[in-house]
Parts: sequence; structure tokens; C-alpha cells
Amino acid sequence: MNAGSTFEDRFQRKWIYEEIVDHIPPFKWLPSTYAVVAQLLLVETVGVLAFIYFQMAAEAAIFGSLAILYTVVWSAGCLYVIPWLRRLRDPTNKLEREVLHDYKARLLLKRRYELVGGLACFGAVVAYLIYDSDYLLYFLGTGFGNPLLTILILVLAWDVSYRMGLSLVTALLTAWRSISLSSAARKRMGLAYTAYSEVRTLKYLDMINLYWGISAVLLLPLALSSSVLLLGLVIFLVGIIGLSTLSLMSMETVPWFPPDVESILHYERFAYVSACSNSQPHVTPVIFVYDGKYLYFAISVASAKYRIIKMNSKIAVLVDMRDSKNPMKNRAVLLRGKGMILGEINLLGIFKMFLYGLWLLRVRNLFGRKYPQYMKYYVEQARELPPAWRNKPFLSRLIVRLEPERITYWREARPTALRA
Amino acid sequence: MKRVPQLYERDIMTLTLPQKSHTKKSSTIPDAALKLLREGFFAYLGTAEPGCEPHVTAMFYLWDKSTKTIYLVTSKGSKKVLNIRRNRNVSVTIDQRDPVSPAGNSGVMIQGKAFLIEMELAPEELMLKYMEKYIDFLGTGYPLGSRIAIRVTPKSISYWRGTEFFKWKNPKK
Repeated sequence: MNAGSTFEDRFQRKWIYEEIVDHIPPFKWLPSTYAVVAQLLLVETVGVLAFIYFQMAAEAAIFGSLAILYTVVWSAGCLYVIPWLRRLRDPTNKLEREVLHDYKARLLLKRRYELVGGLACFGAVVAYLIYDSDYLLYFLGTGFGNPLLTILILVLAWDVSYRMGLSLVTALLTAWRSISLSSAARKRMGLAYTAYSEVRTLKYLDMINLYWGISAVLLLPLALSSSVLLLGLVIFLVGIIGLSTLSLMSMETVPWFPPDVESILHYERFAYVSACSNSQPHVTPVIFVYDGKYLYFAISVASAKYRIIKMNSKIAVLVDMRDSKNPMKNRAVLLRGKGMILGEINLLGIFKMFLYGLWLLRVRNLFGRKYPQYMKYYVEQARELPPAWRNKPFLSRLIVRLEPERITYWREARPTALRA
Repeated sequence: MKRVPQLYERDIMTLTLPQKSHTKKSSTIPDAALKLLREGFFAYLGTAEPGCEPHVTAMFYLWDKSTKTIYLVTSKGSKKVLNIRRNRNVSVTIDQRDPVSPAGNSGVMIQGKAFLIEMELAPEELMLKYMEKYIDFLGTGYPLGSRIAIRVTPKSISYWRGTEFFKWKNPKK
């Protein structure tokens, strides 16, 4: 997959399943998407032939196909997720870097972790099939006891077990990683952090992991006729869902920016918004709040800012710590990205309110806490103020939400570009 | 908690849209704006990258009252210089912050054209004044060699104090 890496390197980082796709014909001649389809067709053909030859029950064909479908869905997910995971870039915080390295090493390098779950599942399934032979007898009919068919059944059982086991191990490692990452992130110092694009990628992969685990629902019909298998499957699903939820929730607590930047965004009281129309920039001071992810500021519907941002949503916001006596105390953060206007009275605006309305209540609350005197002023002076200045949501005041895409941090006039 | 005035409530009920803000056109630069320009310490320079992507930085500046221009000094390799080489339209904002009441906030925004001037060619008198203004910051080791001056000639100057807005347009444009 990666042309630059050596053979040794590639060999070390592959899962067994990927090795098979890479080295065994006919899969190795095909691009990965076709390899998955070829796998589906191959196993399904063998299955159908066995079904016709041994005259099995109709359920056997349907449920068996579902099991094969599960292995295929899993494989597609695996071939999609793993390259992403290998491409992750390193955090600048040492602790977080260690957490991610450990995670990647455990997941991709150590066969032990890869096989332990699969072997456990396989052992349990085989033990159960030997113990409760009526279960197989029902599905297989006359073919029961045929050595070739037994091999096919064992291969299928291994296929399914290996995947379920690996899903469970992955979910476990992921949850462990998220919790460690979140606690490592709390010990950040200065400018050390994990770029948020990486955190977002990890969260996205966790979501896929969850769907991936839940695809085991396809095995439900097969397990329904046996209470032991059903119990096993339910425990598996609950485990996957629980661990993934835990992981996603821990990832939510990882802050977006390094502590130096966060403290400026939380405690400084003024920001300078620059917008641009007809290649003419426009800079004005605003009051703002930062909720840990986005920066919000309020604008008046009569302002030039509103007119400009509506046409060109690209904005830059500078938040600075300034001190005209001590040069060392001057720091600034420049956030650049797209501004989204919330609270407009039009069709799209109302739809956005439906999506972000509750969050805006929180933003209003943040404004109240950060600028109590300002809010008091707006309430007390409402009568004297010109209409465009009044603090009325929707009518005269709109909120702009900035999602930072590029970040620059200055300390004593030396800029540092940080990745979003 | 004080009772909310009635006008405020009625406006919410009747959903009246606010009028446009009252910007007063002024034929001269307001004195208060000139005072702010003379006394301010930090300026915020907005430039535009290609594709009208804005960029804004905090800078030191000097207002030259005789030519009605503003001088800023920066390093040659900085982003803003690069932006100005491609697009000369800039905006400079100098403001006074009041953390207690929005009525106490005042500021000046200059929109105009920027010119890059090599330090050797920049008016010496102004550069000396500039060094004097920021003596605490620039110190002795100020690397003049890598610096470049930016002169901004205003096309328009907006001034605001509390709820009042004034706008002056340069007739010589």
C-alpha cells in the first residue's frame, strides 16, 4: 500500500487478514475492493454447492450467507480503516505521543493481541458445537459428519470468530487509548498538544469501529435457535457498544488547543474580527466567547460585518493578550476559518436554529458569565439605545460561529503555526 | 433584578426590524479620532490573502498628522508584507477597550492603500519618533536591516464611540 516502505516494514505491520489479501491468489492480483467481492463470491459459491449437494435445510443457506456477509462487511471495514490509522501524525505532547504509539503497536504489530480474542471465540464455538451436536444436525441434515463439510464449517467458524474476537480486542484497546489520551491531554504544558484533525480522525475511526462491531447483528438469525450462542452474541454486542461509547466520550474531553492558546481564548475579553469583500479587508473589535471548540461572537444586523460575512464567510479572528509596559506579556492567537451566521430569520436560518438552538442557549449563558456588566448594560439601557444596538436575538443580534481551520500563535512577535 | 423597560418588550412582540445604524458623514476627521490615533499603542492590521481570505495581526504604529498617513514597521519576510505585495488594500484598527460598559468603547478604523517603503527611504524623523514611542519594546538590538515600513494612506476613516458612528471619506482619492 505504501510504496516507500520496505518489505520488512510492510510485513510487520499487517494483520493476518491483510496478509492473505496481499499474498494469496487470486486476491493478491486484485485491488482491495475487488478482493473483498472475490472473497464473497468464492465462499458463497462453495457454500451453495455444499447446500445443493447435501440437500440442507433452507435456513442453512440463508443464515450461512448472512454469516459470510458479516465476514465481508468486516473485511471491507478493515481494509478501509487500517490505512487511515497508519497515516496518523504524531502529537507534539510527549505523553500523548506515547499513548498513540502504544495503541498503534498493540493493534498492528502484536499478533498476540490480534489472535487472543479470535482463538477464545473459536474455542468457545467449537466446544459448543461438539457439546450440542443437535444444533449442527438441524442445519446440515444428511451432510452431518462428512469430513469435507466439517472442514468448511470449521473454516467459517474460524472466519467469524477471528473477526468477532478482533473487533472486541480493537474496541478494548480503543477505549483504553481514549481514556489514556484524555488523561495525558490534561497534563499538557505550553504549546504541546494533539492536533485536532488527528483527534477528529480517531473519533471518526471509532465510529466506524462501532458500526463494524454492530454488523455482527447479521449473525443473529444463526444464533436465535440456540440460547447459548444468543447469549454470547448479546454479550459481544453490548461489550462493543459500551466500549465504543466510553471511547467516544473520553475523546470528547480532549481539548482542541494547547494550554497557552486555550488560556488566551478563555480569559481575554476582546477579539478583532477581520472580514473581506472586494479584496478590501475590514477589521473591528468584538466581544466573544469560546466554548472549547468554536469561537462565537455577536454582531448587529445593521453592521458592515454582517453584510460582508454573508457574502464571504472566510474570516480571521485575532485574540490577544496585550500589555503596553511589558513586552514579554504580549501574546496573540489568530484563528482563521469559515464563519457561520446563526439566528437569521429566513428558511435556512430557522433550520440552523433547529440544529444549534440549544447550543446557542449555552453560548448566551457563556456571554452572560464572561461579560456580566455588558449584559446588564444592554438590559438597562434598552430604551435609550438605537434599535440596531439592542441585544435582541434574531432581530438585531446574530451569533457568528467560527470553526478554526488554521491557527497561528504569537509570543513576543514570533509566530508559530499550529495545525488545527 | 431590574424590570425590563416596556419598549424592549413591545419590540419583541411586534417583531419590528431595526433600522440601519446611523452613520454620520463628517467632512473632517473627528478630533476624538485624531486623539485616539495619537495616543493609541497597538494597531490591528488587516490584510487579504488571495481569494479574499483575511489575515489580522497586532502591530506598533505611528500616526503622521501632517500627511494624514499611518506608518507601521514589520519584518520583511512576514505574511502581511507578502499579502500587501499582492493586494494593497488594507484596514488598520486602533481602539480603546472598556471592559465595564460597551458605551465606553471607542475606536478608529482606517481603510486604505498600503505602500511598502524600505527603511533607508522612510522619513527619518518619523522613524525616530517611532523608535521613541516603543523604546521599551524595541530595546537596543532592534534589527533595522530586516525591517520594512508600511505607509497606509486612508481612503476612509470610521470612528465610533459607544453607539455613535462617524465616517470620513478622503476627497483626494
